Amino acid sequence: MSRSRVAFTLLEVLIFCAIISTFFVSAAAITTFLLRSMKANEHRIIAARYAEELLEWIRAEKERDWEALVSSECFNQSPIVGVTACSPTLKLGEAPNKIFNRELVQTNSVSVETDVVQKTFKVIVEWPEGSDVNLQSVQIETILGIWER
Amino acid sequence: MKKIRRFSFTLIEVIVSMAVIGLVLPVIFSIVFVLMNQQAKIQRLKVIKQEGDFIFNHISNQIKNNAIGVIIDDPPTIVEPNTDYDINPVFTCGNVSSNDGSIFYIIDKGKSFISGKTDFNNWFKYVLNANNISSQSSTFGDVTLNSSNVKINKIEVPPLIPTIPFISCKKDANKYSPAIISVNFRIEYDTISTRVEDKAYFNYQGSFKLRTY
Repeated sequence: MSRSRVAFTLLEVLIFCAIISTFFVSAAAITTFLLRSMKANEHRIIAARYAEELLEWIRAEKERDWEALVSSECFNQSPIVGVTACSPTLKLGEAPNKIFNRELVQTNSVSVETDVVQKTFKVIVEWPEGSDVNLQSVQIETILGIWER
Repeated sequence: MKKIRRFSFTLIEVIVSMAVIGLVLPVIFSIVFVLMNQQAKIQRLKVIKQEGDFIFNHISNQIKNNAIGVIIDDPPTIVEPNTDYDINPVFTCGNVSSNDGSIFYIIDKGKSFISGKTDFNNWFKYVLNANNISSQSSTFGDVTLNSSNVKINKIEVPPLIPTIPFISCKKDANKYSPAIISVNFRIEYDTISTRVEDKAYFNYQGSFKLRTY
């Protein structure tokens, strides 16, 4: 006795599976991309704040003791109380974001016309992003000089 | 007996489809949860950065542009202006710091409406009270600078670093240099959660030399 059954063929099931899996794979790819860029955004906001913090500290140091202003060093501490050694073990930030390295690069120049010593301060905050070998960074730069001497 | 032909799902089909839905739905919801969590984290950072920047810039601009000195006295001593010539009295603040700023009166350079000369009894001050920072002045009363989303406190990181006072003033008596006012505070997102991932804070530290002394 033959029973007539209504069923999907193998081909139909395969096509259905292919469509569904394409959808899921692309959704997963978009989600990982989104998450990664959101994480990078979060780190960038924090890094920008750290860079500004050091620049504000330098401006304050300029008012307090211009001559003693340090040259190129690391400042991996917040709140800033002074220079810290540049070391791969001492990172800036709060766990789980304790990944930042904050460095100050200073160059001196003397203005030809006015004989005023100008110091250029470049703050570099670097951090690793995911499995990317290149470090991400936020850099800000300012020139300070003192006229009243 | 009449044979009824019904098109329906068998039990096994229903069970299989429920199992598939049961596998897929938790995955989708966990992804959505992680995304929203991350979004909330960024939102918190944006709020504290925006408000912290605003408060810091506001205080910095006010002190740089308007302050001519500091009086540590509550209520502030009345200063009689010199009627013969317009010379500022010297407000030496020495080496004073305050954890809440309530007796830290900063003298404003504003001129008197009546005489047109600098009225040394115009003052403004910044007060740290119950997780809020407020701007108070002799003319405008009390304005809270932060929203209720954030908490503001002095910077405390024991035992690494001793507590940094909210506001302090330094003037070298031997030098003809203006006083320097330092402002330090920590802005934190106000949350009842105790999880480390839900917390966000930034430190603000700055020193400003009085320009119009």
